[in-house]
This record gives sequence, structure tokens and C-alpha cells, in this order.
Amino acid sequence: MEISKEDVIHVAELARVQLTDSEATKLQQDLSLIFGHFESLNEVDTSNVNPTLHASGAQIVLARHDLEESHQNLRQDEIRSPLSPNQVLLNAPRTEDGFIRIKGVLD
Amino acid sequence: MMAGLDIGSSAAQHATNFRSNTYTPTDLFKAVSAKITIQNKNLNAFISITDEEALKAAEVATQRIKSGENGSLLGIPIAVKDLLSTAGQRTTAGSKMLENFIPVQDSTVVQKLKDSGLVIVGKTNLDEFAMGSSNEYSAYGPVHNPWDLSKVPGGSSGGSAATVAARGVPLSIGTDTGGSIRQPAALCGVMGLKPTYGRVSRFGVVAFASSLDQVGPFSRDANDMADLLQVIAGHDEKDSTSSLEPVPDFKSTFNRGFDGIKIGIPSELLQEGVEDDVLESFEHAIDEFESRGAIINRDISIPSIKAALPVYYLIAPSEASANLARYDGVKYGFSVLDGKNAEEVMSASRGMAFGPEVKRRIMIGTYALSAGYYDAYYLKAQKVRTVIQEEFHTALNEVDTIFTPTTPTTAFELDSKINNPIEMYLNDLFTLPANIVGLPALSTPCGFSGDLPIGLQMIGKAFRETDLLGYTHAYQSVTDWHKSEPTDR
Amino acid sequence: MSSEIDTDFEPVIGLEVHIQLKTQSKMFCGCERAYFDTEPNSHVCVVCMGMPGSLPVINRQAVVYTVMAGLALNCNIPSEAKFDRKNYPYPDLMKGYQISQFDQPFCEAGTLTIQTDDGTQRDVQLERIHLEEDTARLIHRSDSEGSYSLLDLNRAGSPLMELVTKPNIRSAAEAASFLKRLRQMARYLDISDANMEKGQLRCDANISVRPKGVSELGTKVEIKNMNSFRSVQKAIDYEISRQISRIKNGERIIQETRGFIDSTGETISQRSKEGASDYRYFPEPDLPPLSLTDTFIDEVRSLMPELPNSRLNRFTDEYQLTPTEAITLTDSKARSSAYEKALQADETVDPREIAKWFIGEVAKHINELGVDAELSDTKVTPQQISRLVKLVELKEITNNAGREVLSEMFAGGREPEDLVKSLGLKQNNDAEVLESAIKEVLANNPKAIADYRGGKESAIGFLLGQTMRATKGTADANIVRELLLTLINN
Repeated sequence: MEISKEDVIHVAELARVQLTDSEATKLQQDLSLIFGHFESLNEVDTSNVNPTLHASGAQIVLARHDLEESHQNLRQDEIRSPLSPNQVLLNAPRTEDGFIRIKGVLD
Repeated sequence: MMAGLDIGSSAAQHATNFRSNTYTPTDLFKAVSAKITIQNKNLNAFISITDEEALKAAEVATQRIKSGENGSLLGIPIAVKDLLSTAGQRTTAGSKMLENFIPVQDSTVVQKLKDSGLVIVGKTNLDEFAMGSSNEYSAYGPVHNPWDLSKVPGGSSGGSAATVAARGVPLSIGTDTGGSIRQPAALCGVMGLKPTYGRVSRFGVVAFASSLDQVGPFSRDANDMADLLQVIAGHDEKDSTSSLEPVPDFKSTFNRGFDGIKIGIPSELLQEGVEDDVLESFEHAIDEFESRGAIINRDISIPSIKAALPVYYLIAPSEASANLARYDGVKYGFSVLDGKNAEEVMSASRGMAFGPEVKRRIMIGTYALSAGYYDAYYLKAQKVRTVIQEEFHTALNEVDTIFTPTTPTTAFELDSKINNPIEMYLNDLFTLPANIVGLPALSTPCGFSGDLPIGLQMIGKAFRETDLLGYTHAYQSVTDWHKSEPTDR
Repeated sequence: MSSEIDTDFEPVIGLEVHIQLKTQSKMFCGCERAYFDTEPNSHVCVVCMGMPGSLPVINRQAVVYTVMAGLALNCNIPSEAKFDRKNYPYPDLMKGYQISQFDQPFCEAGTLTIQTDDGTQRDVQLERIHLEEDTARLIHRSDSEGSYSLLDLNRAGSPLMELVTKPNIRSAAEAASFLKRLRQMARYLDISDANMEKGQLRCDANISVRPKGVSELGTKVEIKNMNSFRSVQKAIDYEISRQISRIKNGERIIQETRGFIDSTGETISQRSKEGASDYRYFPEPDLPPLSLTDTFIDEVRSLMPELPNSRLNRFTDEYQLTPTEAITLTDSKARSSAYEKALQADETVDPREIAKWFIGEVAKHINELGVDAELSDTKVTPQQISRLVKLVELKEITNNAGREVLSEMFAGGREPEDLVKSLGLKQNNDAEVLESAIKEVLANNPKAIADYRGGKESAIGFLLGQTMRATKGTADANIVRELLLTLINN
């Protein structure tokens, strides 16, 4: 499995990670090697096999009165109190008038 | 040191001593705090030591005990992996990205620890965003193995394992995505449990791979572990993947003994480059069980188990690539402030603040999910995952539990594998199947190779942590491996 | 560029419509959803902020609303659905991905009937309806450091229903009709206010053109930034003309996203947000897949209010309204409900009479308040309208007097009976009173009498008007007319 440097640069753009040239070179080698190992997956026959949708195999079953039976991994449409604006902005790199201020966004 | 106060006692022993008023949680906390602060110079097990808050918690616990309250872990010091959010206390995830990040809310597990009166003494070191098997990928320096400072403690919960092994605290919390509790437990000679997926809430735990992550306890024996699991287990309305399964009494099987335990050993796994000493200790442990009445079945098979490694290294990075997309220097975390525009700030911040392993996994995951590759990689991996799940299901119809060595080798030298990702990934070969199939698994000490501990892994049926704790309790009542401690660090 | 569509070409239009659902709380957390006129960042928690370790929990009501829309639009509701992550790093997206639905949405297929350009009805086929979360709001500013953006998270994580049509809309007018019918449906179901100006209903259009008779589709262009029904129509018309004239000039159509500029009425090319977008969808591991049982779907069905079509049929059957009257009344749920309240207030009043008043005079007064105004925005109640119509029906007052009373009701909110009294509008056909009034009019208008007698029939109209004015509209015109003729001819 050979992954090109162009592939690496394209994927880094998709992932929004700036890479130095030497990082890109190293990742090209690593990814080629690692994806090469992944080829062994093809040794497992998966015709007629469904992909795992969820780790636990659990489902959320929507039914009449589903929420009345206390525990369900669903929420009633109820308002809970929010964070204070101070808490929202606590970790923000920069703020202005109660907003988070960021650099201009390309349209 | 106060008379009668041995920091290295089990949590249960401390609790007894609190009740008999030999010492108070405040006394114990002060002793623990001093010890872990000194040890940290060698071990680097903690990223933050949370003295002020912890002292207050210890004092509250002291009062609660005075007033006759009876929680089993009330006033017990505990260390928490720095991946679990702690309100008002920085939570770094081992990354430069979150160096100054202060959560506004506790994770559910931390909340439960506090509610039960445990005293959180600090946040432990880990591989950045829990990605690693050696704890060398922490932005805060590597953790050293208390048994041999030139060796790794394992990872990613290396700090949590090391401080329990070094008798800094009796209990700690880790997370396990592909072995991140069990592998360092084995390499540090302590007990570590990854509960069934969904048993413990993930709310407030910095996500690595959502379908694989699970929070779990470290301890030195099954009794303390059952107590801690009792505190943290249960459904959480804030985590839609937390299970509605009722929480049992985790000590309910402590009297079952060895009789009739059906143990399966998947022989195909033991051919995979396991060190001789590890194999020998493992066989000794099997003998221990068999001679006391357990039934050993060496014919069970998980034919596709070798595929677990690629399955894991596709699914975990894929989920991680999305989970880590939020760290972009926009609303919190490390931010390059002088970018031309928002897009540049995002890319540059991520480029600068993420370490090499995190970048590697983001790249693997992004590539595996990208147009044209999804079916060949991510989808294929999820199908093979189904196959492996079915194979485990079949095997666990025949036996009660599957035993393997926890790791193929004992603790390796610092820096020895850091430039070889594939070799590093092979470390998780025995542990990651349990994450892929969501089953509970634990590691308990079962021997040594020279000075270095070896771990025995037990994989159980879904939501049957009780079984595994019962087997371990039986094993620990006839062996002393779990009592060995490193010379004082 | 001309907005006339070249008849050698056929436009092919598909719409992607986002509708904000009117839940109390957000899609995956308990923060209050309504954000209009709120302090910035005041409806925010760790979940909608995408803080490390936060996890989504599905708002059941949002699912109910989506399935309800699906049922109303004849969709197939599958027994299993799931959420997926749609990955696109952008500063308004808190987690760097949007929780959406990829290959297992809550609703599949479906239809919505629209009015076509020639006035007939036609079904637009739907592709799907799915549920997702809204983004944060970015406000663009600039200062001495250059341009920058402010981030307000109050909207982040609000439930958003996305409806995608098949590409079988053929004109800008059809697209506008589709959106109006969709808005009507959303309001009938009370799942959204669906106000385009407030961003509660948003529409993107995929447009291509092809020569008439060709079955192959042309290259499609996505149009964004259409913030009103009017701009949807303008933007689509513009884009169709642009594409046709390019093709005629031998130029290629480039597959791209173009934004509509309201001030110029043009669409312009937008730089792509992310190279070639690659959303890398995969199943959301934080949310187990959902099973939609029959009992759930039955429950949603039982919660559904009456839909526009069945109300329309009921109005023509039960109340004997003409189709035009019924369509006009049921166009708005609020209007048709007010109408029925008026009927219920007094069942002896003729429903057709009340309908005429609602469609005519009442509508005129309401419309003065704005296009989206309803009776409930005024001081007048349906019960009062019923009583007014009854007064006319009983000939207590004349039609004309009724109009005057209604104006006063809208102006001051007083009771119709009081107004009749205080304005002295009670119908009075007393022969003596009328005779003396007519005699006075005749005495003052000898020329009109002469005209009439000279054969000019219309002169009688003038005299009638004068008499009506003299009696302040309290007399019945027919009676006055007869009396007038008798007196002149004698």
C-alpha cells in the first residue's frame, strides 16, 4: 500500500492539521506501512455480515410511553439551566461584548 | 509518620482504621500528599496534584466519619487520570492543546467519587488524548515504571497504574480504549479492570474512541476494586451509551472459590510472540486454577482474533479524528492568535499543539473515512468487528471466561519503540479484543520476569464483572503476587 | 439579464429545506432553544458548546415532530433509524462535526402537492426528511485589526429538520409554491413557525437546465442565501437565465455553489468552504441506533392535528363553502381555526355568510397589520364577528352598517351591539320615516326627477344613494328603492 505525499497533504487539509514538510514525509511512510498491515482484514470473509452499528448492540426503542418507564437513553423536552456567560467564555482565547471573538471567516 | 498509619495499606484497611480512629482521612491525605509529591520527581505520575481541594475533601470526610457515616470508601485518597473533567481543576488530557483548560463541570465518575467522599489527590499523567501504550506520548513527559525507572509503565493510563503500584494511593481511575487500563496494570503489577461497555458513564471523559472507551478502576486487590466499581458503575442519563442493566453487588461472588470455573484459552493467541517468562507465569496461573477445581478448555477458538489489531487501528482513529475535531483554537484550548483568518488559526493551532501520535491517528482516521476508502477500511473493519463479536459469543457459550496473558512482554525500555508505531501497536494485541466486543476484562498480577511484573487477563461475559472479581478474589486468596511492591521510590 | 425563461430549455430544480423545530429545549441538551432577541451565549451548556467529554442525548420531541412531518407528507417511516457524524471543520460547528442522519433518516420518499404555473395541482416527490443540529451564529465585523467574527452559541445545537426534494420542480414559481405549502404544513402541525425572515425556514436550491426533450440532466449549481419567498423566486429565475445564456454562448456550466445577492438580484460564485467537500459520514458512536415501533408511530399519528387538505374538504362538505372560499380560509391554520370558533359561537348563523365576512372585510382589516398577521393579533374575537354577522342576518343592521361597525371594532375593540347603538345604525324601515326622508330628497333634486322621467334610468340610483345617506345606511336598500319608485311615479 503506497500512500503519496499528495494524499497526506490532502488528508491533512481535510483534518485541518498544519504539517511541516518533515512531518508529512514521516506520515507518508507511517501511513503506507500501517495501511499495508490493514490489508490483512481482507482475510476475513465478511460477505453477508452486517457492520457493527453500535458497540453495545443496544438500541433506543421508541414506543408509546417509552419515557414513562424511567430509564431510557432519551430526553424529555425540558429546559435545564444553562452555564453562566462567564463559564461559557472562561476558556475562550478572546472575547468581545459577551461573544467569542475569532479571526475572520472565509465565505 | 503517625503511629499505625501505613500509606501502603489497602483502602479497606484504611477504612477500618478510620472507624477505629487510628487516624483520620485528613491525616492520611497529608501523608499521601507528601509521598506522591516526592515520588513524582522520579515517577512523573501526576500532571497536577490538587492539594487545596483535596484537603477540604479530606476534612469533610473526617467530619462525616466522626458523625458515624459508613461509606466503604469515605475518606480514601484516589488519583484520577487527567482525561476526566474536574470542575475548576485543569484537565489536560496529556496534551499541550488543553494545557490551560479548566472544565466548568465534573465528569459523572468524578462527581460520583466526590459524592462517596473519596479524596481526589491529583490528576495522573497519560499518553496524549489516551493514545499510546507506553505513556511516552504525554506532553508532560513520560511516566517511569516504579519497578524499574528506565522502563515504561505502559499506557495510556500510565500515571494511574504507577502511583498505585508505588503505594502512593490505594486506588485510581483510568480509561481503557484498547488496553489502556489492563496493559499498564500488568506492566506495573497492580489490578486493573475495564468494565463492560456501558457499565460506567463516559460523560465528561475526554473522548478518544467513543465506541471503545470505558472508564475503570485500578487497585491492588479484588476487594478494593469491587468497592470502587460499586461507586462508579450505573446508568447515567447524560450518556446515551450507558447501560440500563442493573448494578449488582460486585462482591456477591467472593465466596465461590475455584470449583467448576470453566476457563477457555484461545491457543491461537499464545503463538503470537509471547515472551517465555510471560508464558510460563501464565501457565502457572492456569495450573493454580486447575489444581483447585477449575476446568480448562484449550480448544476454544477466536479464529479472526488476529484481525482485531487492524479493526482496532481503523475504528479507534476514525472515531478519534472526529472526536478531536473540536480542538481548533476557536472556543477553548491552545490557540495561535496571529493567523490570517479563522481557517488558518484552526490548522496552525492543531499543527502546533498536537503531538506526533495524535497527528498520526487523526491522519489514519481521516484517510480511512475519506471518500473512496470508507468501504475498504472503516466499513470493512465494522464488519470484521461483527465477526469477532460472534466468535467471542460462541466461545463464551462454552466457557465462563477467557484467560490470556495481559501483554506479550513485560515493561520495555523507554524510547525503545517510540519510532516504530507498528511494534508499539502490537503491545495491545491481547487487550484490544475486549474493547472491540465491549466485554469486561481485568488484569491481575500473576508473576515476575526478573523485577518486572506480569499480568493475567480474564475476559468475561457482558455485565458479569462480578464473575471476574470472584475469580480474582479466589486467586488472590491463594497467591501473593498482588502483594509484591517495588522497593520504595 | 432577462428573467424570461427560454422555452427551448427546461429547468430542473431540487430543493433542500431546513426547518427549525419548535421544541422547548435543544436537540441534544436541555438548553432553551428559542434564541431570538437573547443575550449572546446565554443558552449554552457543555453539550451544545462541544466541551471535551460532553455527550448528546436525543430530545424525544424533536423525533416526534420529524416523524409527524413525515406522516403528513406521505413519507415512509422506516422501523430503524440512526444518527451519523457529518465532518466539516468550521468555526460555527462546535464539535467539528454535525450530528445528522446519513443513510437511515426518519422519513423516506413522500409527496407534497403544489400549485403549478398553469393553476393545476401537482405532487412534488420528496427524497427524505432527516433530523440534525443547527450551527452557532457568526457575526462578521471589522476593526483596525481587520475583519473578524463574533461567535454566539445560542443557536448551536437547535433541532433542524432537513427536507430534500427530488429534482422535479420546474420553475421558480413552483419552488415558491412548494415552500408556501411546506410552511403551511409546518404551521398546521405546529412544529415550526417556519418564518423565512427569522431563519426558521431556510432553502437551498440545486438548479440545472437541459434542452427540452433531453432526459439527461445538466450540470447542477447550488444556490444559497435566499432569505424570503421573493428572493427564492428571484434567485432561481436569475440562475435559470444565467445558465441558459451560458449554454447558448457555448460556455460550460461549472458545478459550484453560488450565493444570491438580494440587492443586485444576482447569484455569485462562492469560494468553496472546504476544497472538494468530503463529509466523511460515519455512524454516531455516542448515540445507539433507534428502533421506531408501530406503537410509537401510532402515538405520533394520534397527536397529529387536522391537515390543510382534510380541513378544506370538511369546509366544502360541512359548511357548503365554494372551493375558492375553502382554500382561502384554510391557507392559514390560524384563520381557519378562528373561522370555526366564530361558527361555534352561534350555530344559527349561516357558515357561508361568516365565511364571506372572514374572506372579505375581516381579512382586509387584518392585512393592514402585515402579511402574516392573524385575527389574534387584533382586538376582535371570532365570537364578536359571529354576533356582527348575526345582526346583519337578522336585518338588525344593513350590510353597509355592518362594515362600519366592523371598522370600529378593529379600531377600538368595542362590542358590535354597543357600536350599533352608539352609532345609531339600527336598521329602520319604518314607512313614515322613510317617506319623509324620500320626500326631502325629491324636493332637493328636481333635476334628477326630470332626468328619470325623461328616460334616464340611472338617475334613480343617484336618488337612492341620497336617501341612504340621509338615513345613515340604516334602511334596507330594496325597500327604499320600491318606495322611491312609488313616490316618483305618483
